[in-house]
Amino acid sequence: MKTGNLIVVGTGICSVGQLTNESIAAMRNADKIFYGVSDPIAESLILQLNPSAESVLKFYVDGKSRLQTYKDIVDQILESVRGGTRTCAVFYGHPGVFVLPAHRAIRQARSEGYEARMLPGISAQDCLFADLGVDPADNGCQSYEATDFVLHQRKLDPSSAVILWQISFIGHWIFQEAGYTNLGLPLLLEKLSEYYRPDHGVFIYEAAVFPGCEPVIRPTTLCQLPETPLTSASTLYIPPAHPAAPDRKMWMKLGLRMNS
Amino acid sequence: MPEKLVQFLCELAVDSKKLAEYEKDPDTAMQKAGLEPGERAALTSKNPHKVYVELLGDPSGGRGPEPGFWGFEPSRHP
Repeated sequence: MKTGNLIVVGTGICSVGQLTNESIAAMRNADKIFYGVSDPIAESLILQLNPSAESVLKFYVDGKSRLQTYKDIVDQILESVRGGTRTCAVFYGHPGVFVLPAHRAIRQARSEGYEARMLPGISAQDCLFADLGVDPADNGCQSYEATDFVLHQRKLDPSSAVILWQISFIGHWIFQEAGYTNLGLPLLLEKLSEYYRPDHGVFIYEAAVFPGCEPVIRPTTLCQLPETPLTSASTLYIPPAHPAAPDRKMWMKLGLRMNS
Repeated sequence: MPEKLVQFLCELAVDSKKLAEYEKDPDTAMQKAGLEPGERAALTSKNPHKVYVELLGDPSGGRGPEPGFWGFEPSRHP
């Protein structure tokens, strides 16, 4: 195994309280840190834990493809690993959930013979389960990135919980400093209308970023969604529309009796 | 950024004992840390917008778009 290595960690969504001990240790032990976080406390904390830390947000340029940005991030991380340093990449939330450069950097490092691993963190989905009282064991849970959902023939199961991420910039793959126009929202609603009534109750959700702060939980309906304020952190949670139909044959094969 | 507020929150992030003290008695913990009245009010407001204003000194709330680290990749999907 070559001398450089890579460890990828997450700060959680609220770094005050959601940062794990093993992530703190990994940051302290690194020779070099690259970080991409969205709140000033997480940034200050990372810099205190390890003054070598360097932000990757410099790669976000107005009008630049986000995929090019992610490639630049991976290249910088790998350059450090190839230089023989213990490199740590830090992202907000869970570093493996909606973090394309984290997975790519690990795959690339391993393919070049370097040790690379990821430590789990607390994702926005974990926060959603806690804040909205959703247990995926109850009804199952389908979770899609909104652009991916709009552009593919995915099948929703309205008897399960559904989570759609990044609903405020559907179809945008260029970073825009000033925010995004949400031209894709009507297309999302058009697809959802195949499964739900317009008055189906849904929630706009944003996890809390600071300790003691409340998450954003905004009840609304699908037809009211275009008038509901959204930010780049907004997630759409759609509760089940009806109970799942039992598969009677399987109940019988398992020798189970159904309650009437 | 306001040094005492940043330091206070950074310490809460890495020290579970201090976080427990803050959660049990926020006022005493914030006073001990020497936080200004405005900073204390922001932290107890439960309003992230007010915390951003204290941290970044920006009356608009100071929070830009989330950088995001995932993007749909059109080139992989003909």
